[in-house]
Amino acid sequence: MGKFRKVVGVLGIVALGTTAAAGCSNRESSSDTTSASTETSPPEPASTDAPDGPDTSSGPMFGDLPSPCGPATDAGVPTIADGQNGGPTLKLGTASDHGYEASPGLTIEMLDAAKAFAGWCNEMGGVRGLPIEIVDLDGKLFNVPPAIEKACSEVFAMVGGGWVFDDQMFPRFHECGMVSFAGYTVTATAAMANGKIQPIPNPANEKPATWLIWAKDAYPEAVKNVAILYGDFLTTKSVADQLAATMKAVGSFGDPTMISYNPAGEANWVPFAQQLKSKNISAMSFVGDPSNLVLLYKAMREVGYVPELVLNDANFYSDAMVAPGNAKSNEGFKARTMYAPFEEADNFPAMTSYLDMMSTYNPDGRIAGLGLQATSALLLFVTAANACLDANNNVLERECVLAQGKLINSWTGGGLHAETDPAGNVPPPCTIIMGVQDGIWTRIFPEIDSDDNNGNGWHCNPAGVVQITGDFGDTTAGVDPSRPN
Amino acid sequence: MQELLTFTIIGLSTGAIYAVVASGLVVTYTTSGIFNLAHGATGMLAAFTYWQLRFDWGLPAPIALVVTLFVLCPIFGILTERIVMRGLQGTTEVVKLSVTVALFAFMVGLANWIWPSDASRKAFLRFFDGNVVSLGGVNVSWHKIITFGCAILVAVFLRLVLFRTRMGVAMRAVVDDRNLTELNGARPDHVAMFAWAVSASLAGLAGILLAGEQQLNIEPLVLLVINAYAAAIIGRLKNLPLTFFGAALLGLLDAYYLMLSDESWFPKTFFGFGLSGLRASIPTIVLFVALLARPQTRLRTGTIRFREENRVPEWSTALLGAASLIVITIGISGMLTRSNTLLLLNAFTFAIAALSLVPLTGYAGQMSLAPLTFAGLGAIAMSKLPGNGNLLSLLLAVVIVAIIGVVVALPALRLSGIYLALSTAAFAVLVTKLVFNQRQTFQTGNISVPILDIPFITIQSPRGRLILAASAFAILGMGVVALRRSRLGRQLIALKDSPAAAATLGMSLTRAKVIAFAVSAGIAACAGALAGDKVSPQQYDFMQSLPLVLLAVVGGVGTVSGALFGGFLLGGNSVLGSIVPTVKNLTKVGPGVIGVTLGRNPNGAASQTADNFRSLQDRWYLIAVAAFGAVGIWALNALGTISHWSFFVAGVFWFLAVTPNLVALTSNEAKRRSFAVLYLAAGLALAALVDWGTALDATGKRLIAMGFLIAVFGLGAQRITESAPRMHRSSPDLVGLSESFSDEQIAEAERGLGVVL
Repeated sequence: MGKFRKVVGVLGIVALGTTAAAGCSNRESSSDTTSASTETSPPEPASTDAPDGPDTSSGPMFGDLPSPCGPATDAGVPTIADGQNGGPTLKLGTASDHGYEASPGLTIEMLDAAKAFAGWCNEMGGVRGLPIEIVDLDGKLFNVPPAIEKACSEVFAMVGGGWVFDDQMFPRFHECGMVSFAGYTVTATAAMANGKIQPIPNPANEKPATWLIWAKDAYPEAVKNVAILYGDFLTTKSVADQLAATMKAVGSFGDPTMISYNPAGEANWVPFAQQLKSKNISAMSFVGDPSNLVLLYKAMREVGYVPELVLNDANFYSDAMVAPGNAKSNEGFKARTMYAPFEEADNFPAMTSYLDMMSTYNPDGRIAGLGLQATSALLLFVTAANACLDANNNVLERECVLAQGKLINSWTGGGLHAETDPAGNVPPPCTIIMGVQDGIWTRIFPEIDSDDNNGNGWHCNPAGVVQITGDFGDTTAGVDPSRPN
Repeated sequence: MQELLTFTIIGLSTGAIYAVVASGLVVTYTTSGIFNLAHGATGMLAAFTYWQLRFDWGLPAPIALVVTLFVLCPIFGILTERIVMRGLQGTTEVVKLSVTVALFAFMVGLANWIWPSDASRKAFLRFFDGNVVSLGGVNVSWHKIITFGCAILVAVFLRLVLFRTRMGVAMRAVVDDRNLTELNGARPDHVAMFAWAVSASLAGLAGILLAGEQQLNIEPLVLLVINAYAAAIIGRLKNLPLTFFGAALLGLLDAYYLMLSDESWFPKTFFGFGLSGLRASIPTIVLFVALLARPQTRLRTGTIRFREENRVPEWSTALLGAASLIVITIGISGMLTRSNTLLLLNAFTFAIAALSLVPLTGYAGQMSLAPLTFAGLGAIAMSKLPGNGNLLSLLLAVVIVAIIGVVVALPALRLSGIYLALSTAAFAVLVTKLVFNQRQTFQTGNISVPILDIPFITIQSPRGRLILAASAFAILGMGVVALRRSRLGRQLIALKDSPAAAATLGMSLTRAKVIAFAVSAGIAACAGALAGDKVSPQQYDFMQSLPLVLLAVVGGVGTVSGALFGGFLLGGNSVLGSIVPTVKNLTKVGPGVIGVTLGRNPNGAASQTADNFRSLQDRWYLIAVAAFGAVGIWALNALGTISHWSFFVAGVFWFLAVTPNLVALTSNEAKRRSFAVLYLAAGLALAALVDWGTALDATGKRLIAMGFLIAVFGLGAQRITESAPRMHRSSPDLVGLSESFSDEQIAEAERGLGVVL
């Protein structure tokens, strides 16, 4: 169990210079953000697949999604459009920052999942007989420009990955006509770019709020005196500002007290705990890395004051919070998640499929939340590719695959995560609240047998996506108006 | 009032942590004369080791503590002294400091290697975790009480050892005057070993206590120690009570700041700049103030001969070098993919930043730990100035940053050596926290630096930018050569060689220092202003400057070619790890390993290689060997034994790594010689037998891998065969009595006596 989750938000602060990584872990969490469809229709059960998916009802499955991979059809093995890095294999580039020396293996779980997926998919014949080859697009944190050049010269599409400094891929991304089925996006520039689709959207101006709505309903008094602690980096500060804006949009939350800490490390967390106590803070959210929150928790126990509600974003649904020796002081901590809980893999066939896929095809690979997102992105890509081949005379072409992807507005990755609307690029209104109870992660909300469970294990609220305004980054630099999608 | 009391107690408990760390620093300095930047890293490694014993293997705490603190740490300290520090006698502060940076890099790499971040780590529990006592209404954990107690015990223990024991007196004496101590019958080498052993144990104790608060996070464990520098400097690096006072001051300022920061009257911004980074900067500010409050450093007098010597560059060499750099870059860039072109461009950017250290550190002997900070300021200036990157904005950016350089230099003028280096580090941290971390500068996380706009030439492609960067390096390099050959250049050298003599002769040290800082800042600004891409503040972080300084010194900070070499080492190292996964772990510790051997050759690699080539001139049989080897490699290729790429890599390896070492290989003691031969043979085998055509998928990667191979094996062999000047020079009075004359000494005596044989 412990091996699974690793750090959902990844990026442990590992070594010198990791300042950047630390700053970004939160961004990643915001990318982990549950995304919701703004459509008023209540989400359907998680079993709904992409409408354009293949309609093979028998055969191998990924969760509840019939495998989109398979051998060649009567039309023969597909060809790849000229000038799009075609060849005997379908080359897909998976972005990550695993080569960053100060934090080795940063976000490698995406590449690991992509490699496993290629093994799994190719065993069934690949994309209609065309085998997938995964190309490692390592941004090494500071080397995104060379990595996007590599993508341009080598791969058909970028699938299932992401870079921390992903705004640095523009405008080259558009110049070479690349398309991306992103595993995650970090900057507002990338999140709002075109030529891109992602299974769990993370736009800069719309935020998932079901978790906060739950908080204000369950703790109406506590949320009136709320604090946000954040690591003092531009990137993390922006995440904290977005969180504050989301609280404001949800209403009922008091004006949050913003407290910054040094993300490179604090010698003593007790002053922070004491400050929370002095101010009688009753609800708190922490923006940063789980390893720092663990330290704050110990300090809060030392001072003898813990806010009634400590609720955090998805990257805190992490092994670090229940590590032996730490779990006791973290008792009562809560985090939201849009993934199927690792603890409930038995009830979520897609989780079983993911774990089986990893153990069969990449047993040494890292298993974590971003790996789920990568897998979901790859499934989305192959599904869209199949639709494109049907519509485009068995020729795989970038804009065509993207266009087919942009028709998919209901997606669960076979049940890996809550239902999302990739086409609309809106976060989903569904959430699960997990909490640390007796040293293990336990489902808090919605209870499986209750009416709150209205989304196949998730609680979905039609009003659970809110608009926020503010300057959270350049939202236009990634948009090429001349591209259709 | 209750709140004030509460935060006072909390502040003191933070101070206790700093006190333990700072006292270790002070002891190392008092007993070895070396300011050990790697002190925190030693503690970090000890904390990991303790965790391994205590929590992963489940040994009882007392046993784990004894094994870590009284067995492993002392052994580590002794090894450090024996292998690394002993070679540092007679080198400049720059080299000494760089070696500790190298140690730092090595240990962080080692920790990352042995304990990968994703290994499921068990918690690092505090001593008596969960137990607290109430003091004045505040709960204080037992762990903090223990920390406090340890701090006091350490202070008492040190006082006793340093002043009441013979060993302690000897330790202090060695730092004061090594030769005199030896004449009095002490054995400096043994004393130094003991000092390093004690210091490593103290670092280990601090590391373990700190890890209880910090868990096993490398970065805070290493960096919090830097905060403790401020306390050590307040104690003037020798006074423990004052150091304790400094530590308490740091803790209290921190706690009070947090207590007051959300009062309504408390300033939140300063001319629109957010002040949220101010609290984290408190230790740095205290450090800066403490440094400035130090009494003026006395000018060094006497005739210290440094081992670092660099030839004055000839104009012909410089012109030829600049021209060939540009031509070769144009040639190679045609073969590279766009992606690899950008990777090479990175190396040039690093090289320009390293070049900024040549006039300042190489010539004038002033250590700066902030080259990339100036580069970051250059990037900001270039992006904010109107003109969209034309030559005028570049010029303006350079001037602005040069002026900032002067402003930094002015308060630092009274400082030298380690204190100067620390003040530049403080400047770097302050700029990172208070300037780079602002919306006004880096917006929400990055800014776009325009590509240089040169009239009539459009530079857009990566290739164009690469050629631009190479040309910029060549032009700046020529400028540095011109500086070196000028009157000012000689003044800078004088400033390094003997400030006292230079001042006596009427030279203005102030003027020379200020100009050196300005020139250096200006060159560094170019590295940022020519980025031509989106850049983020993290690229210019203080922690990124450390490896740059290290590798510039490794390459040879006294020469332009050394700077180029250092930049490429840094650029290449970051690439190699990801393309040859099997050596990934080696590249983690690689720079550190290369760096710690600096003591053997403080001139840096580039100048050494050039010398080695020169020494081949009058040895025709070695030239024949070189030619024979080249023919052999060619023959292997002609026979089809090795591929074309292997032929190319092996050929270049033979020329650049083996040939310059031939002289050393024939004139060395047997043990070293055979070791070096084996080492080079292994490198050659790797170069020739790996099929580079298939192992790596792009020309650029192959070239980079080749460069790294040559650097590692060529330099390695150089270091192995180096006739290391014994750092332990016997007192002249003993030569001929307790030991025999060496050939060198006989020759020297003959020269002195005018005997011609």
